[in-house]
Amino acid sequence: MDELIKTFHIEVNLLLAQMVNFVIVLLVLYKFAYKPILKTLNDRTKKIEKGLKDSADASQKLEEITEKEKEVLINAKKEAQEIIKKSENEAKKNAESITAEMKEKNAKMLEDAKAMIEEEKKKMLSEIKSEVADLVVMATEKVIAEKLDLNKDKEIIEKAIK
Amino acid sequence: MKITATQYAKSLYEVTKDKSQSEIGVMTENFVKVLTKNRQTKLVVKIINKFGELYNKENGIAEIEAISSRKLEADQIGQIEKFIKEKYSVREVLIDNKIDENIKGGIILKIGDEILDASVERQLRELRNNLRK
Repeated sequence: MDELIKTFHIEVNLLLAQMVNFVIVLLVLYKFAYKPILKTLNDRTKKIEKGLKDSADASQKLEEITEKEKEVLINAKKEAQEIIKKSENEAKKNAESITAEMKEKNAKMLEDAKAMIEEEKKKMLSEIKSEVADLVVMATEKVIAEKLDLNKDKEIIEKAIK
Repeated sequence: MKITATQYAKSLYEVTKDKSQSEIGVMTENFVKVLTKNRQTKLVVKIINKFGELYNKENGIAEIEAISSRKLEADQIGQIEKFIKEKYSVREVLIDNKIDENIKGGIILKIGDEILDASVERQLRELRNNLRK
Protein backbone atom coordinates (compact mmCIF):
# COMPACT_ATOMS: atom_id res chain seq x y z
CA MET A 1 0.00 0.00 0.00
CA ASP A 2 2.70 2.41 0.99
CA GLU A 3 4.56 1.42 -2.04
CA LEU A 4 1.63 2.14 -4.24
CA ILE A 5 1.19 5.48 -2.65
CA LYS A 6 4.77 6.28 -3.15
CA THR A 7 4.79 5.23 -6.80
CA PHE A 8 1.83 7.44 -7.64
CA HIS A 9 2.87 10.32 -5.29
CA ILE A 10 -0.44 10.18 -3.64
CA GLU A 11 -0.91 12.34 -0.68
CA VAL A 12 -3.56 11.04 1.47
CA ASN A 13 -4.58 14.42 2.76
CA LEU A 14 -4.78 15.94 -0.57
CA LEU A 15 -6.65 13.00 -1.85
CA LEU A 16 -9.07 13.24 0.95
CA ALA A 17 -9.45 16.96 0.42
CA GLN A 18 -9.96 16.40 -3.24
CA MET A 19 -12.47 13.72 -2.52
CA VAL A 20 -14.33 16.09 -0.24
CA ASN A 21 -14.15 18.77 -2.90
CA PHE A 22 -15.43 16.37 -5.49
CA VAL A 23 -18.27 15.32 -3.33
CA ILE A 24 -19.13 18.95 -2.68
CA VAL A 25 -19.02 19.77 -6.34
CA LEU A 26 -21.04 16.71 -7.08
CA LEU A 27 -23.62 17.69 -4.57
CA VAL A 28 -23.74 21.26 -5.81
CA LEU A 29 -23.98 20.11 -9.39
CA TYR A 30 -26.60 17.59 -8.52
CA LYS A 31 -28.57 20.16 -6.68
CA PHE A 32 -28.33 23.09 -9.05
CA ALA A 33 -27.54 21.75 -12.48
CA TYR A 34 -28.39 18.15 -12.95
CA LYS A 35 -31.85 18.25 -11.47
CA PRO A 36 -33.15 21.28 -13.38
CA ILE A 37 -31.57 20.10 -16.59
CA LEU A 38 -33.12 16.69 -16.14
CA LYS A 39 -36.37 18.26 -15.36
CA THR A 40 -36.23 20.49 -18.38
CA LEU A 41 -35.24 17.57 -20.54
CA ASN A 42 -38.08 15.51 -19.17
CA ASP A 43 -40.50 18.31 -19.74
CA ARG A 44 -39.28 18.74 -23.27
CA THR A 45 -39.49 15.08 -23.97
CA LYS A 46 -42.98 15.06 -22.65
CA LYS A 47 -43.86 18.12 -24.69
CA ILE A 48 -42.41 16.65 -27.84
CA GLU A 49 -44.14 13.37 -27.23
CA LYS A 50 -47.38 15.18 -26.67
CA GLY A 51 -46.84 17.23 -29.81
CA LEU A 52 -46.13 14.11 -31.81
CA LYS A 53 -49.16 12.42 -30.40
CA ASP A 54 -51.31 15.46 -31.09
CA SER A 55 -50.02 15.67 -34.60
CA ALA A 56 -50.71 11.98 -35.13
CA ASP A 57 -54.18 12.46 -33.73
CA ALA A 58 -54.68 15.47 -35.89
CA SER A 59 -53.56 13.71 -39.02
CA GLN A 60 -55.80 10.75 -38.16
CA LYS A 61 -58.68 13.06 -37.58
CA LEU A 62 -57.91 14.84 -40.78
CA GLU A 63 -57.91 11.53 -42.56
CA GLU A 64 -61.19 10.61 -40.96
CA ILE A 65 -62.65 13.91 -41.93
CA THR A 66 -61.36 13.55 -45.44
CA GLU A 67 -62.87 10.09 -45.58
CA LYS A 68 -66.17 11.40 -44.29
CA GLU A 69 -66.08 14.26 -46.70
CA LYS A 70 -65.55 11.85 -49.52
CA GLU A 71 -68.45 9.78 -48.33
CA VAL A 72 -70.67 12.80 -48.03
CA LEU A 73 -69.64 13.96 -51.44
CA ILE A 74 -70.33 10.57 -52.96
CA ASN A 75 -73.70 10.42 -51.26
CA ALA A 76 -74.52 13.92 -52.38
CA LYS A 77 -73.53 13.07 -55.91
CA LYS A 78 -75.64 9.95 -55.83
CA GLU A 79 -78.60 11.86 -54.49
CA ALA A 80 -78.16 14.57 -57.03
CA GLN A 81 -78.06 12.02 -59.81
CA GLU A 82 -81.14 10.33 -58.48
CA ILE A 83 -82.96 13.61 -58.30
CA ILE A 84 -81.91 14.49 -61.81
CA LYS A 85 -82.97 11.09 -63.06
CA LYS A 86 -86.28 11.34 -61.29
CA SER A 87 -87.01 14.77 -62.60
CA GLU A 88 -85.98 13.72 -66.07
CA ASN A 89 -88.32 10.76 -65.92
CA GLU A 90 -91.10 12.93 -64.63
CA ALA A 91 -90.52 15.50 -67.29
CA LYS A 92 -90.57 12.77 -69.90
CA LYS A 93 -93.77 11.36 -68.51
CA ASN A 94 -95.37 14.78 -68.36
CA ALA A 95 -94.34 15.53 -71.89
CA GLU A 96 -95.78 12.21 -73.04
CA SER A 97 -99.06 12.74 -71.26
CA ILE A 98 -99.31 16.28 -72.56
CA THR A 99 -98.66 15.10 -76.09
CA ALA A 100 -101.27 12.36 -75.74
CA GLU A 101 -103.76 14.83 -74.35
CA MET A 102 -103.14 17.24 -77.15
CA LYS A 103 -103.54 14.50 -79.69
CA GLU A 104 -106.78 13.41 -78.12
CA LYS A 105 -108.04 16.98 -78.00
CA ASN A 106 -107.16 17.56 -81.60
CA ALA A 107 -108.82 14.35 -82.66
CA LYS A 108 -111.93 15.26 -80.74
CA MET A 109 -112.01 18.74 -82.20
CA LEU A 110 -111.65 17.33 -85.66
CA GLU A 111 -114.42 14.85 -85.03
CA ASP A 112 -116.68 17.53 -83.60
CA ALA A 113 -116.05 19.73 -86.58
CA LYS A 114 -116.80 16.86 -88.92
CA ALA A 115 -119.99 16.04 -87.06
CA MET A 116 -121.01 19.69 -87.15
CA ILE A 117 -120.41 19.91 -90.87
CA GLU A 118 -122.33 16.70 -91.43
CA GLU A 119 -125.19 17.98 -89.27
CA GLU A 120 -125.20 21.29 -91.12
CA LYS A 121 -125.24 19.43 -94.42
CA LYS A 122 -128.12 17.27 -93.31
CA LYS A 123 -130.03 20.29 -92.09
CA MET A 124 -129.48 22.15 -95.34
CA LEU A 125 -130.44 19.16 -97.42
CA SER A 126 -133.57 18.64 -95.39
CA GLU A 127 -134.43 22.33 -95.70
CA ILE A 128 -133.95 22.21 -99.44
CA LYS A 129 -136.00 19.05 -99.69
CA SER A 130 -138.74 20.54 -97.62
CA GLU A 131 -138.76 23.69 -99.71
CA VAL A 132 -138.85 21.70 -102.93
CA ALA A 133 -141.63 19.56 -101.50
CA ASP A 134 -143.63 22.68 -100.58
CA LEU A 135 -143.11 24.13 -104.03
CA VAL A 136 -144.11 20.93 -105.80
CA VAL A 137 -147.16 20.50 -103.60
CA MET A 138 -148.15 24.12 -104.09
CA ALA A 139 -147.87 23.78 -107.86
CA THR A 140 -149.79 20.53 -107.77
CA GLU A 141 -152.48 22.13 -105.66
CA LYS A 142 -152.87 24.90 -108.19
CA VAL A 143 -153.10 22.45 -111.07
CA ILE A 144 -155.62 20.36 -109.17
CA ALA A 145 -157.70 23.40 -108.28
CA GLU A 146 -157.88 24.24 -111.97
CA LYS A 147 -158.29 20.77 -113.42
CA LEU A 148 -160.33 18.93 -110.79
CA ASP A 149 -163.91 19.44 -112.02
CA LEU A 150 -167.04 17.64 -110.90
CA ASN A 151 -166.49 14.67 -113.16
CA LYS A 152 -162.87 14.12 -112.09
CA ASP A 153 -163.93 14.34 -108.46
CA LYS A 154 -166.64 11.78 -109.11
CA GLU A 155 -164.06 9.52 -110.71
CA ILE A 156 -161.78 9.75 -107.70
CA ILE A 157 -164.62 8.91 -105.32
CA GLU A 158 -165.71 5.99 -107.48
CA LYS A 159 -162.19 4.61 -107.49
CA ALA A 160 -161.97 4.93 -103.71
CA ILE A 161 -165.11 2.85 -103.05
CA LYS A 162 -164.54 0.14 -105.59
CA MET B 1 -169.33 -1.23 -57.65
CA LYS B 2 -170.54 1.43 -60.03
CA ILE B 3 -172.32 0.43 -63.20
CA THR B 4 -170.72 1.70 -66.41
CA ALA B 5 -172.46 3.43 -69.29
CA THR B 6 -171.91 0.41 -71.51
CA GLN B 7 -173.57 -1.88 -68.98
CA TYR B 8 -176.56 0.49 -68.68
CA ALA B 9 -176.86 0.70 -72.46
CA LYS B 10 -176.73 -3.07 -72.77
CA SER B 11 -179.44 -3.68 -70.17
CA LEU B 12 -181.59 -0.92 -71.63
CA TYR B 13 -181.27 -2.53 -75.03
CA GLU B 14 -182.11 -5.96 -73.61
CA VAL B 15 -185.30 -4.78 -71.87
CA THR B 16 -186.56 -2.70 -74.80
CA LYS B 17 -185.79 -5.26 -77.49
CA ASP B 18 -188.87 -6.55 -79.36
CA LYS B 19 -191.22 -4.41 -77.25
CA SER B 20 -194.08 -2.21 -78.45
CA GLN B 21 -193.88 1.57 -78.41
CA SER B 22 -195.92 1.98 -75.20
CA GLU B 23 -193.94 -0.70 -73.40
CA ILE B 24 -190.71 1.00 -74.37
CA GLY B 25 -192.03 4.25 -72.90
CA VAL B 26 -192.65 2.58 -69.53
CA MET B 27 -189.29 0.79 -69.59
CA THR B 28 -187.47 4.01 -70.34
CA GLU B 29 -189.22 5.79 -67.53
CA ASN B 30 -188.22 3.02 -65.13
CA PHE B 31 -184.70 3.12 -66.42
CA VAL B 32 -184.44 6.84 -65.74
CA LYS B 33 -185.77 6.24 -62.25
CA VAL B 34 -183.07 3.62 -61.63
CA LEU B 35 -180.41 6.05 -62.88
CA THR B 36 -181.67 8.77 -60.55
CA LYS B 37 -181.71 6.35 -57.65
CA ASN B 38 -178.13 5.33 -58.40
CA ARG B 39 -177.22 9.03 -58.83
CA GLN B 40 -175.71 8.42 -62.20
CA THR B 41 -177.81 10.74 -64.33
CA LYS B 42 -174.72 12.44 -65.69
CA LEU B 43 -174.01 9.23 -67.63
CA VAL B 44 -177.09 9.82 -69.77
CA VAL B 45 -175.30 11.20 -72.85
CA LYS B 46 -172.79 8.37 -72.82
CA ILE B 47 -175.55 5.79 -72.38
CA ILE B 48 -177.50 7.24 -75.30
CA ASN B 49 -174.42 7.06 -77.54
CA LYS B 50 -173.61 3.52 -76.46
CA PHE B 51 -177.24 2.52 -76.91
CA GLY B 52 -177.17 3.92 -80.43
CA GLU B 53 -174.04 1.96 -81.25
CA LEU B 54 -175.48 -1.20 -79.79
CA TYR B 55 -178.80 -0.75 -81.57
CA ASN B 56 -177.08 -0.17 -84.91
CA LYS B 57 -174.88 -3.18 -84.42
CA GLU B 58 -177.70 -5.50 -83.40
CA ASN B 59 -179.94 -4.35 -86.24
CA GLY B 60 -177.29 -4.27 -88.97
CA ILE B 61 -177.26 -0.52 -89.34
CA ALA B 62 -174.09 1.42 -90.23
CA GLU B 63 -173.88 5.15 -89.58
CA ILE B 64 -171.43 6.80 -91.95
CA GLU B 65 -169.96 10.25 -92.05
CA ALA B 66 -168.99 11.07 -95.62
CA ILE B 67 -166.85 14.16 -96.07
CA SER B 68 -166.47 15.57 -99.59
CA SER B 69 -165.50 18.87 -101.15
CA ARG B 70 -168.77 19.07 -103.09
CA LYS B 71 -172.23 17.87 -102.09
CA LEU B 72 -172.57 14.20 -103.04
CA GLU B 73 -175.11 13.40 -105.74
CA ALA B 74 -177.77 10.75 -105.36
CA ASP B 75 -175.97 8.19 -107.51
CA GLN B 76 -172.77 8.67 -105.51
CA ILE B 77 -174.65 8.13 -102.26
CA GLY B 78 -176.08 4.96 -103.76
CA GLN B 79 -172.59 3.75 -104.66
CA ILE B 80 -171.29 4.46 -101.17
CA GLU B 81 -174.24 2.64 -99.62
CA LYS B 82 -173.58 -0.38 -101.77
CA PHE B 83 -169.86 -0.28 -100.92
CA ILE B 84 -170.50 -0.10 -97.17
CA LYS B 85 -173.17 -2.82 -97.24
CA GLU B 86 -170.75 -5.18 -98.94
CA LYS B 87 -167.76 -4.29 -96.84
CA TYR B 88 -169.41 -4.45 -93.40
CA SER B 89 -172.29 -6.82 -94.28
CA VAL B 90 -174.99 -4.50 -92.89
CA ARG B 91 -178.61 -4.21 -93.89
CA GLU B 92 -178.98 -0.47 -93.68
CA VAL B 93 -176.61 2.47 -94.20
CA LEU B 94 -177.21 5.95 -92.84
CA ILE B 95 -175.04 8.51 -94.61
CA ASP B 96 -174.34 11.94 -93.18
CA ASN B 97 -172.73 14.00 -95.97
CA LYS B 98 -170.55 16.82 -94.72
CA ILE B 99 -168.92 19.38 -96.99
CA ASP B 100 -165.31 20.39 -96.39
CA GLU B 101 -163.57 22.26 -99.18
CA ASN B 102 -160.23 21.83 -97.45
CA ILE B 103 -160.02 18.20 -98.54
CA LYS B 104 -159.76 19.58 -102.13
CA GLY B 105 -161.56 16.61 -103.69
CA GLY B 106 -162.10 12.90 -103.17
CA ILE B 107 -163.84 11.57 -100.08
CA ILE B 108 -163.32 10.65 -96.43
CA LEU B 109 -165.56 7.98 -94.92
CA LYS B 110 -165.84 7.61 -91.14
CA ILE B 111 -167.41 4.42 -89.83
CA GLY B 112 -167.22 4.27 -86.05
CA ASP B 113 -163.52 4.43 -85.23
CA GLU B 114 -162.47 3.53 -88.75
CA ILE B 115 -161.50 6.18 -91.28
CA LEU B 116 -161.17 5.62 -94.98
CA ASP B 117 -159.30 8.64 -96.30
CA ALA B 118 -159.38 8.94 -100.10
CA SER B 119 -159.13 12.72 -100.18
CA VAL B 120 -156.94 14.74 -102.56
CA GLU B 121 -155.62 16.55 -99.50
CA ARG B 122 -154.25 13.28 -98.11
CA GLN B 123 -152.56 12.45 -101.40
CA LEU B 124 -150.95 15.87 -101.43
CA ARG B 125 -149.81 15.37 -97.85
CA GLU B 126 -148.28 12.03 -98.76
CA LEU B 127 -146.59 13.56 -101.77
CA ARG B 128 -145.09 16.25 -99.59
CA ASN B 129 -143.86 13.70 -97.04
CA ASN B 130 -142.34 11.51 -99.72
CA LEU B 131 -140.53 14.45 -101.27
CA ARG B 132 -139.17 15.49 -97.91
CA LYS B 133 -137.69 12.05 -97.14
